[in-house]
Amino acid sequence: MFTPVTPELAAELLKGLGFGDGLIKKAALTLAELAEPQFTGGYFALEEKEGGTGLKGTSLILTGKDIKNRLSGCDECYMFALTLGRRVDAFIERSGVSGLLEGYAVDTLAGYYADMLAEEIQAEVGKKAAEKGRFVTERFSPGYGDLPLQSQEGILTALGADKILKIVLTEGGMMTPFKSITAIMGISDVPSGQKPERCANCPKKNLCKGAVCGD
Amino acid sequence: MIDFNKPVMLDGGMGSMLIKTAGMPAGFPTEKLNLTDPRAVAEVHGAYIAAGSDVIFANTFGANPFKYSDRELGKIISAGIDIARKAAEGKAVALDIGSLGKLIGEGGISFEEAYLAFKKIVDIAADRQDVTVIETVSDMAEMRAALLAVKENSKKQVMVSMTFEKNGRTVFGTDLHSFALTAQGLGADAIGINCTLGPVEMLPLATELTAYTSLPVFMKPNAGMPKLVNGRTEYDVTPETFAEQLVKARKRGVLIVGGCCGTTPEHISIATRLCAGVKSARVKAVSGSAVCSARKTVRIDGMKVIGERINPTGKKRFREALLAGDIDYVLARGAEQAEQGADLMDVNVGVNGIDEPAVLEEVVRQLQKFTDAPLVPDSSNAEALERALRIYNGKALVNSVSGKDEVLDALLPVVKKYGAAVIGLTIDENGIPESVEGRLAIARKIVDRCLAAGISEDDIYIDTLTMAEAAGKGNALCTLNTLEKVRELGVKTVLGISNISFGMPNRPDINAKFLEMAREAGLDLAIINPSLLEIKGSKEAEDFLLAKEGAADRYIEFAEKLQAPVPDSGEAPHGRIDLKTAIIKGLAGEALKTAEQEEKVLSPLEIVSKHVIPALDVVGELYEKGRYFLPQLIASAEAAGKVFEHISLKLPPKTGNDDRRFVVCTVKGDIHDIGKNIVKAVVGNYGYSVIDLGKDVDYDRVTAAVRANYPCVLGLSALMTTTVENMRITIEKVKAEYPDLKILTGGAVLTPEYARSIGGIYCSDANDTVKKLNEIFKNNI
Repeated sequence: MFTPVTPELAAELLKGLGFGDGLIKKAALTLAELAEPQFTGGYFALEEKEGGTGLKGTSLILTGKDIKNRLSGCDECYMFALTLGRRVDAFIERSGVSGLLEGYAVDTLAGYYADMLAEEIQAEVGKKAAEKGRFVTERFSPGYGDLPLQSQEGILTALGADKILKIVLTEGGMMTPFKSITAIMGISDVPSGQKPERCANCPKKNLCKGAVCGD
Repeated sequence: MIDFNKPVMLDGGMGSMLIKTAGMPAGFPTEKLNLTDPRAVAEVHGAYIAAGSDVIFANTFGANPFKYSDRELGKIISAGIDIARKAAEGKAVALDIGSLGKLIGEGGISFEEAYLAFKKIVDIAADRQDVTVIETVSDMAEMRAALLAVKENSKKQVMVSMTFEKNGRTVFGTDLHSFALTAQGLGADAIGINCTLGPVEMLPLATELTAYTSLPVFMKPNAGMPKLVNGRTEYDVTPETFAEQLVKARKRGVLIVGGCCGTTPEHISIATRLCAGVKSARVKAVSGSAVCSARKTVRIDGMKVIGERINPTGKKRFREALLAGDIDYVLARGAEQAEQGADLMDVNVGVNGIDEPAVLEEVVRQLQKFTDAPLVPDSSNAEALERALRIYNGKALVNSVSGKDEVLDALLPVVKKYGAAVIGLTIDENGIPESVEGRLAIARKIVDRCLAAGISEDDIYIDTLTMAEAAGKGNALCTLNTLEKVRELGVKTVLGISNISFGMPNRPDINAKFLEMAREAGLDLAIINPSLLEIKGSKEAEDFLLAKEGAADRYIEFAEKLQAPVPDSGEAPHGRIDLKTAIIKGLAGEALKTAEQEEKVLSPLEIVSKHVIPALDVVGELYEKGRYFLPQLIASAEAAGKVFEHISLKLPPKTGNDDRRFVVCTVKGDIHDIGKNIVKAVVGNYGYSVIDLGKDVDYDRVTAAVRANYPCVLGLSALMTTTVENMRITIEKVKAEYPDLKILTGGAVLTPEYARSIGGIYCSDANDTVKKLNEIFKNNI
């Protein structure tokens, strides 16, 4: 289902970052061998709850005004969790002792690749929605805007991602395997009407280096 | 007591049943129903008993101390067991222990914390259950913590299953054979596989598992692969298809069967019916010697190699690394050996002046992440061996016991408890016997004591002790002849090879020949530098080792003729680039070769000032100009680093550079360390002594390290918005004691303003860090 990693794809993803061709090829082959991309996702009806937006059939409540804005006008959402697996992590960790350069290359490539896969899932969901004449918002993840990182646990439980993908959180709230992504997209009958607030009012503006959340 | 050697029907899914029947949302903690709706729980139990289950699992799977207070946990588990007992109608009740859902290791909880959490569960149950089941774990560390907690705190039988993916490994990379060896070694009564897979996918794995263990094997598949439909998880294998697979399982020697997520009393009922009258097979496990790590089993069939290089004996640099707490150095040696083809790795950190038990434990803990090779903890300190065995995620080979009673008394119980194999040296309180019979007698004693302690023949490796042939003519023959006799005892053999050539020239040749001869004599394990495998020993060496008349003198002559003349050119060979360029271009191999040439003409310090530093300066400039990027920076740093490593062996000891100390770490809660490692590689080349505390470093450890290294500069790295707060706290705490400390801060999540606001100095990257460090030290901190 997912686009596989090839040296050509890697060259695209790593363009302009200063990696030599030989290194890019090596990193691509390594990632192709080690990555085990898997995802789990589902459609959830949205319901207003005290404190935020609830996903029907789960005990998850998404808090904060940014996700509320993003999902405004949507009656449903698609939520997913995606991971590249632990073998990538193990390789990168070992690079701390030997092979730092290749480890850095694989780490960078894996991050971009995971993001690309999230794009593909989003595109697929968008396509299915369009077939029904519906519209999909840009995806949103814990840590974007004021959707707290702490939502991660509830999202993983609601998806069964802790069981199906074996994604486990560190004490600091980070997902392991590291190259994992969770995200939510709103689905509605009308294109995203209400524009989410611009960066000026985002609580993360001092820390964000670019348009991470697409806003 | 349950007889696991007969067919047993377990029960089916509980959580999935409760979610369905009680209409709970996905992910609801169904163990809570023990308190809020015990009737619903009892109903499910009753249905499984009616369906034919011989064992029902109490509804305690998700109950652990990280989710509940002690009081609540006590109530949930006790109620769970009570409800099951009342519904069981005399059938067996299992305490069901699931995964803690926590990361074990850096960034998560420690092995001991996991153990204590499981211990709490076991203590609450207080053996009111008939058997304990540990299931749905993917991490060997977690499996061991749970199994040890049960073995050390309960007298009831214990079943252990891990959850495997279709490819026969868990998501943490543990394979079936390693799981079997490790769980069996720790004393499980039955082992198996559960969850993740449906019956068709799980059957071949369970069948394979029966070949790896003499223990009864069980399987509990899901009712197919799960799909998320309208927020609910659904499974697609029908009860009939499911039951048919369980019948097949019984026929293939998997006598204990049941169902996991998505299975219902109907699945179990049909399975009971179809299995009745089916003749179960008895499978004999493949026997033989083996050891394993969490991810790899090595069978000792034919000679295997134990890499010897993690050992400070005779290695000044290694000793210094241990004294300085430089674990990375040790890990790098391990990584090298793995590449050279060592099957197993000896781990020896015996140096005066360190806390050997603590260091051996830490090295084993870290090394097992960096290599899949099974480890051989090597120490004469019983406490060190025990601590290493406790956290080793696999079946280790312990180096060693001897014929001395107090050693056997102290160590054999520990070896047995942790399911390890053991090396026995043919030496006792009277020293090393000179005769074959003398050594054989000690071997027999060791074997007898091991067998009495419950250690199997397959797990005993006798070392008939390699003594230098030059120190005693006939030593080699004595060792080899004893070895042949020891094999007749039915145990395995091991030898440290390199001692044979002590005192002679051209040692690798003699070692290689001795290795060949030992292999022919039936040696099972050779402790060597793996690079030895590429050498073919000479005839002259063979004569020497066979103690032939005059062979020692002939060998010395032979060795002298082998010395090739050293070319004396002083110029770099044609076509080779100079050292400075090699470093600028990041060509590590080229740089090292060129450095070796330069050494004939320049002193080490001249090489550094003439080539290395100017090269790094050029690289730094190119980086700032935007012509070089991070990959080039790293490549050059590594090339320079290799040259330094080579030269430092020749530099006079301690040239006083360690008054420029830089303590670095990734802060508490954060486990990203690539950035920190890049900084370390680059900064290390500028004459700074980098003390790396690692990642997820607690506040106290940071303060202690600053205290130990003051005056110094501190470097902190954090990647996440949440852990950047921990950076602020770290700075606060350290500055309380060292208000004048300069603290450099870095990480993708930082900005100059934020760094300033928390009392740190912002560094945009490794290059910037070097500049800031240079400034600070120029101004005398």
